[in-house]
Amino acid sequence: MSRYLLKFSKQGGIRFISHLDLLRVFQRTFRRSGLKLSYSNGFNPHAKIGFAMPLSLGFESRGDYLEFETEVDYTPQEAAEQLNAHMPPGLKALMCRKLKETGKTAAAAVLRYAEYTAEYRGEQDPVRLLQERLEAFLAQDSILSVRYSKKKRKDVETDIRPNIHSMSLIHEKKLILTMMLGAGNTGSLNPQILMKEFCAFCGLDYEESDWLYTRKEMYFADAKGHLKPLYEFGG
Amino acid sequence: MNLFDRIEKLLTKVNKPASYMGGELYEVHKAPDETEVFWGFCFPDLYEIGMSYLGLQIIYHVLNSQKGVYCQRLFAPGADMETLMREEGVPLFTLEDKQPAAEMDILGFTLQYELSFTNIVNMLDLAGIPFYSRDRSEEHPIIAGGGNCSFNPEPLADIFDFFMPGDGEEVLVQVTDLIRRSKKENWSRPQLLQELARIEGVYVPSFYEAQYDESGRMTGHQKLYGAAPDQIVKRFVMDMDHVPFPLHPVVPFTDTVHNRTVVELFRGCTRGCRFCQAGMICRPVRERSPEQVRQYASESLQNTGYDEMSLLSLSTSDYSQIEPLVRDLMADCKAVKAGLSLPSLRLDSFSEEVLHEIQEFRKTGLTFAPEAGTQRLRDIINKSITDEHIYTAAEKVIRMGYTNIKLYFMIGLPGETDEDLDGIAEIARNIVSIYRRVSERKGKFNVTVSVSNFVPKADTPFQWAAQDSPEEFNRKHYYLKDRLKKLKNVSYQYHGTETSYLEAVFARGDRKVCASLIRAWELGCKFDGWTEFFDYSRWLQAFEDTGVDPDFYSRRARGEDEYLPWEIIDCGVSKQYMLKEMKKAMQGIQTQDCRKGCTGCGVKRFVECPVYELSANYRQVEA
Ligand code: SF4
Repeated sequence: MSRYLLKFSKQGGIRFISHLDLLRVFQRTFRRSGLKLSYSNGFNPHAKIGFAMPLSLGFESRGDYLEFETEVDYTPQEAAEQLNAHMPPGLKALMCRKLKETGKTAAAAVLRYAEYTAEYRGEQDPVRLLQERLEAFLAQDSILSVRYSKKKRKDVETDIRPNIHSMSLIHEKKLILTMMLGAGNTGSLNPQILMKEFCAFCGLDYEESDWLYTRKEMYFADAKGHLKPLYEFGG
Repeated sequence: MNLFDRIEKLLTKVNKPASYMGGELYEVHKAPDETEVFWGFCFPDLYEIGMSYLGLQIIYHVLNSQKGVYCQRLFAPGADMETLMREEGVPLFTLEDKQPAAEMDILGFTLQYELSFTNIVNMLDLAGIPFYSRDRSEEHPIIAGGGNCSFNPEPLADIFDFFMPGDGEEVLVQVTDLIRRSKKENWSRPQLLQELARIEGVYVPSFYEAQYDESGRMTGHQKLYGAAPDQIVKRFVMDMDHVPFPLHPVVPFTDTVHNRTVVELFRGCTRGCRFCQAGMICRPVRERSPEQVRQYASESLQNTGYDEMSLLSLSTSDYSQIEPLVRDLMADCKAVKAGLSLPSLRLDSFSEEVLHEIQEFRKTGLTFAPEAGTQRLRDIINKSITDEHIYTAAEKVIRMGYTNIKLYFMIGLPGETDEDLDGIAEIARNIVSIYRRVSERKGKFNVTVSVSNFVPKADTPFQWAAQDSPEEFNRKHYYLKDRLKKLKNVSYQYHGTETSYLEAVFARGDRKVCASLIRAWELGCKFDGWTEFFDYSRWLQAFEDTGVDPDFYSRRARGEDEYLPWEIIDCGVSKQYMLKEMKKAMQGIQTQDCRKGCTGCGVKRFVECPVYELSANYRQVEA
């Protein structure tokens, strides 16, 4: 049995498929590729395959991670190539590495941050306003975001400031905001919520379809507390 | 902004955006400069329904295999997407290249069921294409239809330019070649239609005028163009092993109705149930060889990556070599960790191990379709199942430990009395008694009685019969409910009577009901097959506004020598034979399955019917 960590990208129309559908897409890709996944025992065996972190519907990604276990031992290159030969349009294996079999910690368990970009595709010109207000926005001690909780059946308020590690804006041909946000068990933040708050702070209408979100990378903290991209995770 | 970007913007706002984005595995793309004919294949229902339909994959494959032909897919958008499209002025578009439907050379609709007709009108409206063929010109796509409802196309005759009843594989290529030529040579629309009418199996309705008598009954089709055929014979494709089959079907990213690969096992059915349209219009039986079925199954499982496969036919267990085939397929599937799912399997001759392995069975338990509650009525409808069969099979599966049995019945059949309804309850009760007698386990056991309403269909021996009124259907449902209520372990499911009534109007409608259809759409009707959308009062309004009496179509028995609106199409089985069958029905006489010997249905006027051996399963059931 071998364990692998696969970094992949999800771009184009396929960004509109959900997390659950993506899992099935991968399962079918594995079947086509001939790579033999391990299966759990039981009446309804399921393949041992899982994502480090779900990606919201509509997001692109250039840094998502999939962990899987195979019955047969392959070299990581072989696995990535086989998968790429059978991926549907829009999915691509970027790199693959073998995880130690013994260390059973999943990548999902160590995840601390995820980096996102939000690209503006609307027809307004909000650059100046956003630029001017970014510093003041981040200088706040707390940023309260109100969301309706289905579970509690009422609006709940959360402070999202602690989950914003950094946020910056560049404007060349396009207006792009880059954000490093909390992810994983220790607290996570969806960039859409942040952008909603930021736009409100700037007095701008937030229109979801004006923004294209991309997940760029995921990070974990090593023993010394340094942030490292997830593909360096040893398992 | 180009159309692509405008659509992409909408996708962030709708449910199931994947239904509109295309780009799936094995989607076909062709460059515009290599394309001579732009074909739009239209499925008048949601993406997830259409993508589970094998016919779509076959046609997509057939057309895109042609050089210079680019077939793209179009579906009815969901209500939320439609609202946005209308707000933003986004027209109906193809999934592949996000091209407006109106830019296609031809739009071909598959006509699967009557209750999707309003969706056709809605799709044309979203495309900005005039509904009536007389209002269209060379600048509009030509509108074509095929599929089961094209055997009585009259309700749509004013909308469509032409219909192709029967097997589509060959005629589609011929039609497409003609369109290619017409574009090169700049034909006028009438010229193209005249040429189309010369292709065997193509019906151009505008070349005929419908004639009626004073009572409103149709009396004939008067030809307006001399060279048009007197009658259009449906197309036959005879050699299943050489008909094109999609081994690389488009694999949706999202879940659809069935997420599995499907191989067509055979076409046609020989049993001759007198209410069943598919059983008549798909004759004769043509089997695919077991070797090819196995090969296709393995290849398409490999190509798609699905973990389940299924066989398609009207009655799987009638396949001449079903036992060896199922065993082989089972082994093939097991080797690649895939499940085998076999709908409508008769289980008598299979061993328990085999049954346990069949997924459909594992999931849903045993299903049976006696259709009628008494032997007398089963003789009338020509259903060869006996009570004996039902109880033997039920006992077998109960002993095997299954706790769900589902029974399908139809009510409102010609010659039905309340005793036949009592018979339905009786069968359910007897199965529960069998369970009590043979099962050691105490626990949950369920017999589901599922009842649908009889809809008289064109091209069946019951095409002359009157349908029950919605009130009468409701009375029968309550009657049955009342009897079944008293039984423990029995649950009851039934279909809405109003949709069945509407279905009956269009199943045997003539050209006059087209106005009602368009009026109903104007009043907001669409997705009539979906309970959450169906609005009966609007339909009644539409009939009233257009001066159409729906009872005239659904509840009126037709006279033996009355001209029938669908006679313009010869479905293969002769009217004479249907009439003979209708009379035998009234006398309660069954007609044998023609696998056991030809019964002279008329198909041999056109083709040689292949002869197959009876499967062991079949012989055992008969014994
Ligand atoms: S012609 Fe005879 S053998 Fe052929 S389908 Fe009809 S009844 Fe069956």
